[in-house]
Amino acid sequence: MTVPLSSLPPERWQEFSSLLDALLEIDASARAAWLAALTPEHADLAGLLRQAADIDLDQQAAPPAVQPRLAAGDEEETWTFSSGLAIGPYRLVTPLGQGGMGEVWSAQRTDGTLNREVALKLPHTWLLTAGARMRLGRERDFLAGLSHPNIAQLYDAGIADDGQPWMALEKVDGQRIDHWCRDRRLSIADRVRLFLQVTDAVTAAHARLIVHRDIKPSNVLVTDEGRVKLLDFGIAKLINDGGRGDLTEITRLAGRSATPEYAAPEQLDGATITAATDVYALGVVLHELLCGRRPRAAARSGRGSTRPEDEAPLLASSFAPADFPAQAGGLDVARWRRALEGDLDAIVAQALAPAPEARYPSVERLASDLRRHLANEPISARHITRVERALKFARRNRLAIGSALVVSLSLLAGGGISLWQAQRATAEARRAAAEAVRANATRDFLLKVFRSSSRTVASDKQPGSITAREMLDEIVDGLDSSLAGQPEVQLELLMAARALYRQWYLPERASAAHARYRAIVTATASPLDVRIIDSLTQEGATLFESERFDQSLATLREARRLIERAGLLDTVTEANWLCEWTRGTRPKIGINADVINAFSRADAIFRRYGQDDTRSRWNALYLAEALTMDGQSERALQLSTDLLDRLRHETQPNDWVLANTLQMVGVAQQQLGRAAEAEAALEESTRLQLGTFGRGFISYVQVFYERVNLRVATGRREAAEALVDEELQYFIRQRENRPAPGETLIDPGAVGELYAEALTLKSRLLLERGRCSETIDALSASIGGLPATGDSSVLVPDARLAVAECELQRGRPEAALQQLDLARDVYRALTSFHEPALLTRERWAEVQLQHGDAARAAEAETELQAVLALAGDRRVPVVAAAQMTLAEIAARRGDAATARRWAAQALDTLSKVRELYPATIRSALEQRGAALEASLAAPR
Amino acid sequence: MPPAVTTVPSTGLDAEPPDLASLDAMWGHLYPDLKALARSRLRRAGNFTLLDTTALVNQSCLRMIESGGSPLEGRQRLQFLGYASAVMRSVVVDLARERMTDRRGNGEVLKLDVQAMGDLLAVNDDPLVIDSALTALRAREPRLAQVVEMRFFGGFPEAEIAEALGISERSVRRDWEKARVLMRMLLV
Repeated sequence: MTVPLSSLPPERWQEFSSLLDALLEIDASARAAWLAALTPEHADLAGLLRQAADIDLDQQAAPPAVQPRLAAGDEEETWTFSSGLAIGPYRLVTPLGQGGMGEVWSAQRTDGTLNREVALKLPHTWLLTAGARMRLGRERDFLAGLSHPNIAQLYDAGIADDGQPWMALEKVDGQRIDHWCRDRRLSIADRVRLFLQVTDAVTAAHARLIVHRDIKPSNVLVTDEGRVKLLDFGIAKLINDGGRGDLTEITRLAGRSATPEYAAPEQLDGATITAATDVYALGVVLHELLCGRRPRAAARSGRGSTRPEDEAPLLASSFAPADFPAQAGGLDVARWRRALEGDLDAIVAQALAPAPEARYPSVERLASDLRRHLANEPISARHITRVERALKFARRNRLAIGSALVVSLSLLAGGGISLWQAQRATAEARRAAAEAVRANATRDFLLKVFRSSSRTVASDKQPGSITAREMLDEIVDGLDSSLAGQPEVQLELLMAARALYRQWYLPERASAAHARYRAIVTATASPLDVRIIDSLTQEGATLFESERFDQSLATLREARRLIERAGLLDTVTEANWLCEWTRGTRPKIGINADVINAFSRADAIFRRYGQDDTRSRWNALYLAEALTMDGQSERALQLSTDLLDRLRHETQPNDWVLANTLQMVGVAQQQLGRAAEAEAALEESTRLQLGTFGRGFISYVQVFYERVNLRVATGRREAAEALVDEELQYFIRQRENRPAPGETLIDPGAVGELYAEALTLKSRLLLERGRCSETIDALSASIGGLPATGDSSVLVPDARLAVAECELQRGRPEAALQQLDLARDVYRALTSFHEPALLTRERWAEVQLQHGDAARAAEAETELQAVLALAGDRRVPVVAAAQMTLAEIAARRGDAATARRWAAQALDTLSKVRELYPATIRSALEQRGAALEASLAAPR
Repeated sequence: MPPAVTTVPSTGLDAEPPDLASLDAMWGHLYPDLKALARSRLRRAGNFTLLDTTALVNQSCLRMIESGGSPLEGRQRLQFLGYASAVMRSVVVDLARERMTDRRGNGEVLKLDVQAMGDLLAVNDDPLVIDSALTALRAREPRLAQVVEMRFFGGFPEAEIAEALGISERSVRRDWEKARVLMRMLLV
């Protein structure tokens, strides 16, 4: 006879405890042998150890509870509220129920306007975060709109004067669905039919983007007439979710513990709640209705982070409940099992898949499989055997994307979409699945539009002659009717539409698409949702590009206000905004430190968040551009080659971004004196530019200038001229409305500007050969047609400078000075660094000195000092020229020492210029230096 | 109406390791409040009531923070939560005793979810049974008792217990299994 453990002598405890450790370490099957092999010195402990082994085995089979359980208390004692109490517009009548979240009372309106009794839900005040309180009103309006025969209607909600929140719901007189089935000994088929009422209700709610989050038998009541009523739709969200993780882990844990038995794995992990979460809970309820118990309760409790792969197959029919089959329509176990094997097993398993993307993509799909099963039609869920399932798990990771495709393919057959909120999902596969689903829904919709379009336009157009623009308008206008109930797809299409309208410079259409996008988001999310802010930012950018500057700034300011209110500073949302705002507000001409700092800050934020999308890439390009303008060529090159590397590794890079990146690489390389690298990058950029938007587009023209510059700087004047001539011919064709085959006519305003710019370039090239009279008339004429303000206003002084040079060459210094005065006036207003401005001002001083009024020599000197001040420590040729001119002024004054010092500085500056520049600049300066030295050395 | 939140004086927990005397004082303030909270967290399940202790501890911590105390971090928080488990144990046991008295007054007997296993008394989830077994266990295996207290009454996950006690999660799991075996044996 073994003594009880409590009577074990204390001196034997340590020995016993160590042996027990050893015993529990070894596998259950080996314990009998281990016990039998105990040596005689342990004879007094053998009995206790055997007991321990039995208990352990028993506890492993049925793990003891991990939380305390109390006997039920007295009803009256535990009710927080009391009958007769007034809460908001209601008076409590009798208590209906109580749960972890609060109490439910039957109540009546105090003002007597409505006689009906409602179920008044009274959540504990501390369960509602400040955010939830704020959202209560909006959620109420939203949920009150959810009306369905199988859903208990939410009538009203509010917060009483003492802070007690209340929700008035349709009072349902019914019985829990599981009890209802049990009491009526419903057959399997009848249970499935009843369950279909539940899926109908959930489908209707999902169509309105309302996820239940807490589906369980106690929330599913059945009336005496057999009508299912689902309670508490969307209310779990109101209670448990403050809208964002603004409190501590504590509230998250508190929220998480709602009803763990029905919670999907991602819900327990605190991950994103989606429609798939409800699919899972429905799977648990279905399992319970079909088998009388929840699936694998033991495996789900306790170990929080069980990997889905570790879980054994979920086959409903393998559960052998003792008395259940008899309750399910009076079946014996074998017949019950046969009823479940196959379809129902497979359906339940697919609903209960641990990974959300492996579940039914929508409740509708679950329901349709159940209907097919009832009608003896083949179902879409795969029949799963144990072997097959094991194989599937082994291949899970590799198949993550593939299974997403399977999901979307099965979706094509059914057509219903209700996967949403996946934007924030963390798992790659989940995202891929959601995207595949949406992409397919979008594709289906587009195909429908394509098919119908020829008919739609047959009356006024040739079939098939519909333009992309008309097509898009039709898609957008048809969204409400064709995709009602699929807001996520609508959002997706609107997002595509607004991007296209932006590219097509259709600001009204783009703004309308943005407004509709925001309206859909507002209906389902916070007014501070990042999607709303991003939409405002994008709309601001679109308006800016369409030259609606005032509207653009107002929209961007509104976005800024929301960013600050939402506490989204230093996030990608702010970085997007910074990029657009800076682009819209940077100086039209020149560059300053604020612009570089703003783009840099956005760039730093994008990097910190690992953001690498089109927006962050454009920001990097804007930054690189600003840096090249500022002479920070190394940093610009670093940024653009980084980006180039990433683009090169993509299978289908965005050619447009690639072309612009190559351009930046080319410019930076040229500034760093590397002609070959610059040339390769610019030529590739040109090919891509021509392949995407054609030669009339502004960024093609920019690359064109860089190419001409490079040719001039490397002494290939003829090649440069040929390039310019080709471009001029193109613009002449455009001006004369006779495009060559394959060319389209572009905006005449743009043609005027681009033609003038090319002409300026041509004049400068001819200048060096002393032949500028060939273009001067055309150039002078084109100046009159150029805008005096806006982005293009710099064209005027640049053209005037070219005209002035021509006039000088023609021996007409007065005419030249006239042009230079006008050009200088424009450029003197500019306080930021802009190389052509400095060049113009330097030339003005130089020419003034040589040909102008001697009295203005002092003014010229001041002008040159201003040029040097604006250039700062940048080593550019114009600085050397200014220094040389200052030397000449000093020499003219007879100040030989100062003159020599400036001349030496000029040549020193020139030696430090890394940028590629025409050799003629160097020889001209050297000649001037030599002439200066000669004049100083000559006897006066 | 729910009880008013008791005001708790700030104890400067963010600066120093928890001073058990001031913690006692603070919990003393909170105790009535906690009991009311515990009642409200009861969830009816057939003839029994489940008490969600995790949520309860979390809520009471939240209340303490809301009423002026400082959020606890790192080691301090873990020590504090160990202490919280002990307090929660007494709250739960008190509540269970009250219940039992009520029932006896009504002529009913506290019903246990007994899973007959030979001549062994089932130790499942009744707080009074666990409480006395835990007291017997503490005299012999203090660490195991600590693990049970934190897991069962405090409702903490294994990882947090491991961190608080400075042992591995695997040890916590082994301790838990062994403790449950010993507790059942100690009650005979």
